[in-house]
Amino acid sequence: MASKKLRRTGVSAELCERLKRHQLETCQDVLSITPVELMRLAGLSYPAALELLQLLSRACAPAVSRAWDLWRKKGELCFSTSLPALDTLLRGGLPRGALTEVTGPSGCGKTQLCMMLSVLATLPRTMGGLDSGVIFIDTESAFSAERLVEMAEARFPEFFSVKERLLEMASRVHLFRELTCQDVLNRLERLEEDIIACRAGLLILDSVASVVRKEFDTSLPGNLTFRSNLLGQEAAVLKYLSQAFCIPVVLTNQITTRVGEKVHCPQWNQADVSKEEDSGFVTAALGNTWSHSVNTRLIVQYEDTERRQIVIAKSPVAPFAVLSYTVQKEGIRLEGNENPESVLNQGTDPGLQPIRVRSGFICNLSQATPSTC
Amino acid sequence: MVILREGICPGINEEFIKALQSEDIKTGVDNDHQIATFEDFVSCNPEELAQKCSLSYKALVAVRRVLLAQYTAFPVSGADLYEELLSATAILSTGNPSLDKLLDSGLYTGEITELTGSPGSGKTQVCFSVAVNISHQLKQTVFYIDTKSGMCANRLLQMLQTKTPNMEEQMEALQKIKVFRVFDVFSLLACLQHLRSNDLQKASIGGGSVKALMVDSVSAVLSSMLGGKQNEGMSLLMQVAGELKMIAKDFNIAVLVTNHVTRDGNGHLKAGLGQSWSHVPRTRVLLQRVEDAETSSLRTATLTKSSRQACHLVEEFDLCHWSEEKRTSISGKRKLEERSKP
Amino acid sequence: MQRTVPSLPLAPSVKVKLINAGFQVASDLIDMRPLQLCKEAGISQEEAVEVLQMLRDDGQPHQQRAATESLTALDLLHQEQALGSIVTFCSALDDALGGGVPVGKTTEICGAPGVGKTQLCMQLAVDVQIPVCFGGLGGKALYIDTEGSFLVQRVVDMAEAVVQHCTLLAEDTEQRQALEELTVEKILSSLFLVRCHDYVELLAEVYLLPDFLSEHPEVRLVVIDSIAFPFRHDFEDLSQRTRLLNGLAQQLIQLATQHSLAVVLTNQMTTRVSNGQSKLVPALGESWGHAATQRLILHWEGLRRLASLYKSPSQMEATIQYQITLQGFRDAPDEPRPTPASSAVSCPSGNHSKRPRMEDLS
Repeated sequence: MASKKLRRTGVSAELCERLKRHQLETCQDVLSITPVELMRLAGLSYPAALELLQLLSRACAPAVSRAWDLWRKKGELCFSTSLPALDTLLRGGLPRGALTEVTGPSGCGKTQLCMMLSVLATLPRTMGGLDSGVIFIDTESAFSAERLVEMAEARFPEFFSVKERLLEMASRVHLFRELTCQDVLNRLERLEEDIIACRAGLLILDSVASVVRKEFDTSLPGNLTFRSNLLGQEAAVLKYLSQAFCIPVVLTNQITTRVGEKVHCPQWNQADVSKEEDSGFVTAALGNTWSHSVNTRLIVQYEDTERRQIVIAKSPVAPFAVLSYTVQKEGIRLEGNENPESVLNQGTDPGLQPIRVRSGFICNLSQATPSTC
Repeated sequence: MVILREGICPGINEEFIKALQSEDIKTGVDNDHQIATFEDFVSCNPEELAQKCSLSYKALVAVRRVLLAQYTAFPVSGADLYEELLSATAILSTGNPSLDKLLDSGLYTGEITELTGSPGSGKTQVCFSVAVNISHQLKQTVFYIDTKSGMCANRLLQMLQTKTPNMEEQMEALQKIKVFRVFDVFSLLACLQHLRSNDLQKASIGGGSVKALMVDSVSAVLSSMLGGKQNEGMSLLMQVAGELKMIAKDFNIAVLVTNHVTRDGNGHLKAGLGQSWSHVPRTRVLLQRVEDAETSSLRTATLTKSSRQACHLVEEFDLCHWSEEKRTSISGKRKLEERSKP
Repeated sequence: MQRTVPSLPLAPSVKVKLINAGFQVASDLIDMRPLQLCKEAGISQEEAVEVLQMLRDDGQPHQQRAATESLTALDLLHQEQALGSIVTFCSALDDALGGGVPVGKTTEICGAPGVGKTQLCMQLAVDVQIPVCFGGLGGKALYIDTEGSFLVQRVVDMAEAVVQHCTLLAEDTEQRQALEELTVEKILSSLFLVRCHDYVELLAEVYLLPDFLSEHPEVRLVVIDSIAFPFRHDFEDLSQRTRLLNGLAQQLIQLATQHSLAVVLTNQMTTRVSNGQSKLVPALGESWGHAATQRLILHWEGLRRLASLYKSPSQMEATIQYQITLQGFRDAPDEPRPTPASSAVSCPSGNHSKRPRMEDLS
């Protein structure tokens, strides 16, 4: 929209020529300068410059709709996660047209959740799915097709008893492996075509943080702003895609420690028990600006060796809530949430919400439960 | 540059001009262009001119004398200027003793005084207090040009209510404050020029003469003009400065403007609008909040430019000193700063 | 009116030619004919006609008249009393703001992520529609969303709560009649929504606002949520960003004043390192702080949410606590009710006599 060429907006040819001499060729170029600058470059009087800006605005401005029109399409607002307590809190499920972030320590279930959502998206609408493809951008090489199939069979045994359905489901999940920041950005910029080709209804990026943290050492001065800008660009592209195609976007993030006055150091596997009072606290990575950019933040954390919790830390519709779950063969299973009072709590700044990390190892390796993701 | 046109002085009519501009009369450094302006005319020798064109020498000399008298600047003696200054300049007290001390007893007419400060530092409040003081105490009319929609008549009323319980007086004082709302630089220039040519000519408006003009804020309209590839912006800034100075000088008015602050490379505060604007006001005051004060209405004023006092004088005052209301329950310590690590 | 030629809003090239031809003031030009002017100044015929039209009949009546019209402070006082404000349903915040978010001014809401900026904006978008007989403005709202945080389910919750609240308060027939029309459907239909993806679309939308507002004169609130997101990552040239933001701020203030609406902008927070310490400050730079008339900063203090009025032309600074409930933006549960004495210092007008004291909803 913004890159619409001036020629096509109804501006006179002579004026287009005059503007072209000053490298102003698209609506974006002209709208990015102040009216007084435009007066000089285009040789127009002030009222004429304002009129030109109005004409170009009409060509690029988005359409106005009403909240009522949005509400009437109730069924298309959310993507159900098939976890009933979570869906109720989120008023239907993950919002379509917005970014949802899942963050937490490693091994907690982020990628499991993503794979579970992928399976759900491919299901037909009668079963609560989106009946569409899934685009899975994997930067950590953590995606496992076998696990995907295992999850599908365990969660919906009757439906996937037919082998063809399993194959169809697997063929609808499109995996892209990107290993550097620039690759990720390039992929996102070209994703429109892929979304249309795959008829994708869900976009997963696992994970946002790993590539960025590998490449940008934030102790160097310029890097912090550069990293913020890059993340901002990624967020803007993802929001555009999610809104244009009305699909949910799920991102995963990592954790970091905030320790007093010192610069933070990323902790990949914080296995030691650090009392929160002594050495700082663990929280979501990528900083304050990124916390602004995501619309919904779900934090997964450890409750004890077996059980984990999913925390709704930031959401435009849901209150702060904590739900317990375990990771089973069929993916995520919510349990132990019968008492509603324990669910709703007081929250704090989603960028500073402390996250509980694993406090002990599971020594009994004979257990069948997959505990790593 | 004054164009020779019929009617600018008796003696110049259409024939005169036509005769002057006939083909063979040339002037200028390279003798290349016709006599079009007053300068061209005056720089020609009347004898030569009389020979070349059909006009009489007497007529030419007469017109030349009249034009010179009309358009030249005359020297004035310093003593006369001083006398004029003493008789015409008034000093308007701001109503706050600390600020008056800083400004060497108040706002001087004929000069531009500037207030700068971070957002929320109290520039608009100081403007309100000064306006209320002038309209109520000194009973003069105040012109207030508001570019940011910051004018709040309720606040003026509150301030007046603390000065006098008499409703009549309050209404009268409010009527002496005239507000103009402009939002871009061309409207601001139109407004200033209109004031210069019309309203200020009228000696008394509502029973008092105009002694103060406030512009809040001048940077809101001018800051988007500067920088980038626009040269027009600087010219417009200079025009605004010129208008304000002329208004201050010609009509003996104290002009008070507000400006914003920016941070320079080291993170220090400096006044906005750059170096070119810094020469325009005669006196500049920087307002700042007092950190960690019990009452959040304490401010410090620092004199950053003055032709009368030593710079960097600092005075502290309470914004509520002007108006003595106390808010009991709701005010509390403001927690603005959060320590956090990126 | 004695206007100098350099101050006219003409194209710079035309101005230069006029000045070179010796025209200094508007009165030099006013009696000229187009062809004569064209010859003397060396400008084209169309330009000559434009110049003369601008001088003669005040081409843009709005601007010219506004520049020369003045109101006394007394007139302004009457106007302000008629304008009113939009309640936030958090009585502590309403008191701090002097009745609510003021109409005719721009208010900026800055805050850390998740503190409730979007919640407050959505609450205001619903509250502006409260009918006049209940003390509201009875107007429509335009919500410009740049972040994608507008989720209509939440607005439905808030709308239902507002309708319920008004139902409890309806006393006389006029109010009951107004209540019949106040349904969730009507509230949602009067809430216009625009989704902007980058700063160009946002600027374009603001340029088109005057037309939109003349088509929908009942709009009393324009929310831009948030103004920071599109401007924070796309700009290498920060001075260009500052210029655009300043221009945008002036346009919004002009709209707020001329169309009698409240403009609410949301801003994000950024970390600034100074003297080895880092603190959270509102984003978009120092000069942006001057743009809005009123600034409200929402922040976390442990588990509590606080709102501080940081900059206001008419109210004193204050910090209050609030909370977000299922029904929307409300008072914090254990905050003592403000005593009547303190409300005497807020807006002295008594026009909100019908506005009910907001009871805490459970």
